[in-house]
Amino acid sequence: MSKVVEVKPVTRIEGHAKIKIWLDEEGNVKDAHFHVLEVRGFERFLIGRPIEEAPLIVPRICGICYTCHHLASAKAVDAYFGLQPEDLPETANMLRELMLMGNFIHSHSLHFYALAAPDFIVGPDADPRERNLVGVIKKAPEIAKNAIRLRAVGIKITEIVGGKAVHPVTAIPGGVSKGLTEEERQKLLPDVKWAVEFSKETVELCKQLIDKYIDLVKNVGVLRTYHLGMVDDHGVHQLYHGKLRFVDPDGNIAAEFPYHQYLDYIAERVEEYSYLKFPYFKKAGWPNGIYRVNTLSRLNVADKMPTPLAQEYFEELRRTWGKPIHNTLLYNLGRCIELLECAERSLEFLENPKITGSNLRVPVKPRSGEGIGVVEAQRGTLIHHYAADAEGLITDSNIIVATVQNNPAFDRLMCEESKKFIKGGQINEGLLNRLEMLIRAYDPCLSCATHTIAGHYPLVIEVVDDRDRLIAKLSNLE
Amino acid sequence: MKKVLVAGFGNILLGDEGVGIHVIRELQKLNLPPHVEVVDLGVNSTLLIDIFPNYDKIIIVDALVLTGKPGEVQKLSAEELLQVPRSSKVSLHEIDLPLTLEVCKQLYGSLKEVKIIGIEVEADSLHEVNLRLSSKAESAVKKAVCMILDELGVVNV
Repeated sequence: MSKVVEVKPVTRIEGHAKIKIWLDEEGNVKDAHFHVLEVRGFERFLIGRPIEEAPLIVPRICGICYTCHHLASAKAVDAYFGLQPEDLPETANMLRELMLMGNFIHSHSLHFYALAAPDFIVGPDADPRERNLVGVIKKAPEIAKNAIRLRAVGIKITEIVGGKAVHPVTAIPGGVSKGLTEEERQKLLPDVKWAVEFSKETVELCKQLIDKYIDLVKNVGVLRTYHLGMVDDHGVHQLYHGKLRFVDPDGNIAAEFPYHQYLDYIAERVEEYSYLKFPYFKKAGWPNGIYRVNTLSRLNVADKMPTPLAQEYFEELRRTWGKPIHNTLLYNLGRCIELLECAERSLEFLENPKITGSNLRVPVKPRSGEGIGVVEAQRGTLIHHYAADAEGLITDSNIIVATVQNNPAFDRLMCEESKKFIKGGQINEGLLNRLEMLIRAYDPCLSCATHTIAGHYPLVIEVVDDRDRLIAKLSNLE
Repeated sequence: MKKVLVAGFGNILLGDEGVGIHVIRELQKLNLPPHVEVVDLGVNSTLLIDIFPNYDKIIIVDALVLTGKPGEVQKLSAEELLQVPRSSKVSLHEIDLPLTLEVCKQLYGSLKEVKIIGIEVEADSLHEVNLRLSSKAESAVKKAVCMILDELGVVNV
């Protein structure tokens, strides 16, 4: 049973995606676990720091969703000071949300054009070294140039509203430190108008690719789970502020709550093979309460989109695929619909005269207590929870990122998919590509530092027998 | 006057992984001539794509895992970096820097004015949150600053 099937030389894979597959005595798949980079201790470095510094430090956690960390942190800090978004000036909330929209435009377009689409634009059988953004530039130069331009619009919004292109700094306790001038508004308007148009084309392109590969979309990575996302009081899809909603695998609302009550609804489980804690929906218990977050999950929990063009595609999505939708590859389409929504919403903000308002913050006073701030990050619900003493120094913190919430579901998915490729100890060649494709659809955070845009997604799969002996190691590294 | 960009990459929360940013912070304390811009780009190498055409010369500073000798500082041309086989883990976040450079090459035609100052770090140390540099990395920061000033042709700062 424990014959070595294949071992490819693997150089230095620490920190990249590693999947472990356990076989039973008959050589069939029993379990699978996706080891995301288990970076330890992000919360530790906040202890002892003044709480208002947290929003400036946490953007360093991730190179994709830095703005989300900045804003979730700012909301937690506000909450510590006894403030909710409704206590802040309207202009401050608008600017914070506009900053978030900019981040989503940047990263959602980057993910689609550099990670998801290349497989399909350049061709799934093409040389892996061409299945990336460079390959897209060669094969479809106009699309690539527009993709790069769309990304740049998102970055520009972040830079102007957030103060820096890289790590935004303008969300401060009680509001924002920088307003938007009329000149800046005029500068952004034409780019954002164009962004709406090209985002729409992006949705159309995604739909075409889905039609072309419809068998894969229908059959790969379908797993019934709960879903979690943010909506407002009318059930409208929200990214910056709202309440949290769980829907069950049939699409019924299972719970709806203000996010500061998250501990009543989300429990955490520790598994032997990982020090990470895996969240699940408390009421449904483990493992039934396994849930997913991320683009499609958000669309599953929402009743409506906040902008008209996105709403049209949302309705079409429901008509075509039902509710809720469990197909992993459709997270890509969800991403494109959100991209469009964020472009439309950015335009709405820029066309609203209040965006250049001068009332930017309310005063705050330190007090002992806690604060919880939640936003939807690209990959899903992001929770920042701090406790601080009467001087405003952090005494404890808890940060729950999206990827860890998706991990249990993802492990189940991989287990199911691997069964199609491993039987009686025999490993079918297509396993590696298939798991790679699944990972890409989720866009897991492999650590703050390794959000690769290389088409060559560094991945190692270890298959072990029922006595934990390594029988195969597959890798897409050379 | 040629416009020059010195761009640092790295994650300062992960110890030596952020050594490039520490170099940037040292450079920002100096009185550099106005045509030189020094920027902390965090872990976002793709930002280079947008700002690339604004400069005549670009110096990138970052952590590398290449020679296996932590503390070593070397200068590479962009083309040399692109020759490094993909299976070599160059650095945690720099796996996408080569591709970013390839994108720039494809869009803008040439990488000949792009230089990389690479600081070799210990791969296994890079996964714990740590706000401090190892002593080897600290010494390497000084070396890297000198190499960059040399590359800039700047003296007496």
